[in-house]
Amino acid sequence: MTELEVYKQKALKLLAEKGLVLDRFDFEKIDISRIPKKAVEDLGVSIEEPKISGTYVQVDNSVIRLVVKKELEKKGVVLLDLEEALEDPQYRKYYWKALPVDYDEYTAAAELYGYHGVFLYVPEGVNVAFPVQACFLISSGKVGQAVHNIIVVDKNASLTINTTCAALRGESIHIGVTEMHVGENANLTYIMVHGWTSKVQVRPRTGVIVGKNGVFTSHYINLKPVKYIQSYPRILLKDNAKAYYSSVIVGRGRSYMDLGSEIILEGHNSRGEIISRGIARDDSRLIMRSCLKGYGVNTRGHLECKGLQLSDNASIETIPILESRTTGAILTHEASIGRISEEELNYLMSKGFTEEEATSIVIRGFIDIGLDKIPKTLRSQLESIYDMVAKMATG
Amino acid sequence: MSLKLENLTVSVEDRRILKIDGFQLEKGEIHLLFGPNGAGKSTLLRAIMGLPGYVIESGRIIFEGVDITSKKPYERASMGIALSYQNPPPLQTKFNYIVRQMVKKYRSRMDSIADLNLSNLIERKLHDSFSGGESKRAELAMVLLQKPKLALLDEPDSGVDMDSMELIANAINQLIDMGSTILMVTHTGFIALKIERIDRASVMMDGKIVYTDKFDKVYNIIMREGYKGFSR
Repeated sequence: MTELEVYKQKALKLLAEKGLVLDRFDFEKIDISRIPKKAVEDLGVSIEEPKISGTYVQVDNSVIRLVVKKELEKKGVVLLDLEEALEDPQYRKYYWKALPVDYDEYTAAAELYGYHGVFLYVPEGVNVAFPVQACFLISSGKVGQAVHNIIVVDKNASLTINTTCAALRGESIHIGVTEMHVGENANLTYIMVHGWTSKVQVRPRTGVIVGKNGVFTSHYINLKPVKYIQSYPRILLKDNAKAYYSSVIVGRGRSYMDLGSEIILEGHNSRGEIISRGIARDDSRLIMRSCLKGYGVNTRGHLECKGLQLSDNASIETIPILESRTTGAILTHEASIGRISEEELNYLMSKGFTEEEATSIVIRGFIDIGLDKIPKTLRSQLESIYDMVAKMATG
Repeated sequence: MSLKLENLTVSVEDRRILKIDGFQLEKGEIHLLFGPNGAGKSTLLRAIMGLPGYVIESGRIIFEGVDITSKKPYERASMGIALSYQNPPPLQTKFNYIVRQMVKKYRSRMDSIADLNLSNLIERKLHDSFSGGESKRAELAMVLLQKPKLALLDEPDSGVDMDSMELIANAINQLIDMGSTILMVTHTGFIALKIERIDRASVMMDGKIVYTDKFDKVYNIIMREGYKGFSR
């Protein structure tokens, strides 16, 4: 049996055990005739933008754009549809290596139902100056979209990838497996913006391995209602590696959002930081998890999780976990849930802002977790997303 | 007439703090408000701004001929009233973001930020660990962004170093040049020496305005006799 057949067998076995039924979704839906071009552009995907190194756009289960700048191609940067990449053994070796295929029923479903996904490889020593953008869009109801992305940044290389996932309408499911390999001394910045609709279920599954002296920076924003999203990326750090994972989530409508991340400080001197902000309004339920595991000698980690409750019908749970298995680990956390300060609101209202405007300004401050670790080219885009989040949290 | 207070009584937490029988400011008038600690000077400014917790028990506040007694603070601000706080609260939002929103709202220019030497603070959270002088300058800069018809300045000169004092005086002079009416609370009156013009001054004692006259006359009495000269 080939390696790929082994994965399939494992996935079949697990899915049979878990009994996940996905019959009502069409995982093969291909109908690009009705894709509104504007919808893709509205997601911030700028195909003609000169300051973009490459673009991958998938609508439902069709890849509608896949392009990488010529000069990067010459340097050995590879951007492929995953199906094509798996045909090449030098790329296939990364498949299901940062995350096991039988991690859970959704990784299994991605193996069995999935088509497509980004395969991105940056060779040793190559610095990809401008971001690569990836966009996954669900255009209508009953769509099952199961993607598998693999991002490899080899030794001493660097890359920023900017991913947008969104749905336009209808009851659908998005399963997204993402495996990231950050090589020795390499640097990967991963930005993900989610904009779903209230009938969509979302199950991202992410595994990251950061090699010696590597740096992984992730920034996640979820700004629109969703039916149910559950995600818990796992980031494994080798010696002297660093990870910074930040997230801003807004619970609106009846959204159920169970989100978090885990950093495993396995290598000596590895450093991890998790910063999250959650806003719960309407009837939303937010579960904010974060976990630091100090296994290596002289590891340091800090997590900070803050929730802002805007409605009596909403709920927030923060679940910070610190785990140490060595005398050399120093791990700290702070978690808090609060409401908007009357004093700040009154102050702003005396400066001429209505209550709604003042609330929005306070929220803008609450979610401002600093973008100093994000490449300059993306900061203004994220600033405007933050502005939108602040407006959406009140409007 | 810019501002007129008629038989105004104001209470805070069920305690009557102010009783102003009558008080008025002409358009463009620069008026200083003196008085000992606890006389009710800040309370008067906050009541005019309409801050929550400052309950008007009776009387009326008339601004440019409109009764604003029951108007909300943001309505008063949009009509042209601005308040610079004596002790503003620390915010979690960056100064820069708030300034941008104010520039949009009031269609003003950001010049006051550089004029008041605040460019190095613009990326910080507003009033969060600002020094006394920095907060006072930030408040004045925001008042200038509002291009107010009536500026209520609560001790803009207290707790500031000489360099800040100079910048604050310049900002007040800008307000004077744009024709704003100014009601300014000051303890020491030092700021008076640096601003272009002061028309009148009043003295508050125990929640009442006990004396109003030309600025020089009021200032001389205070310098000579302190506030006891007004308690008769």
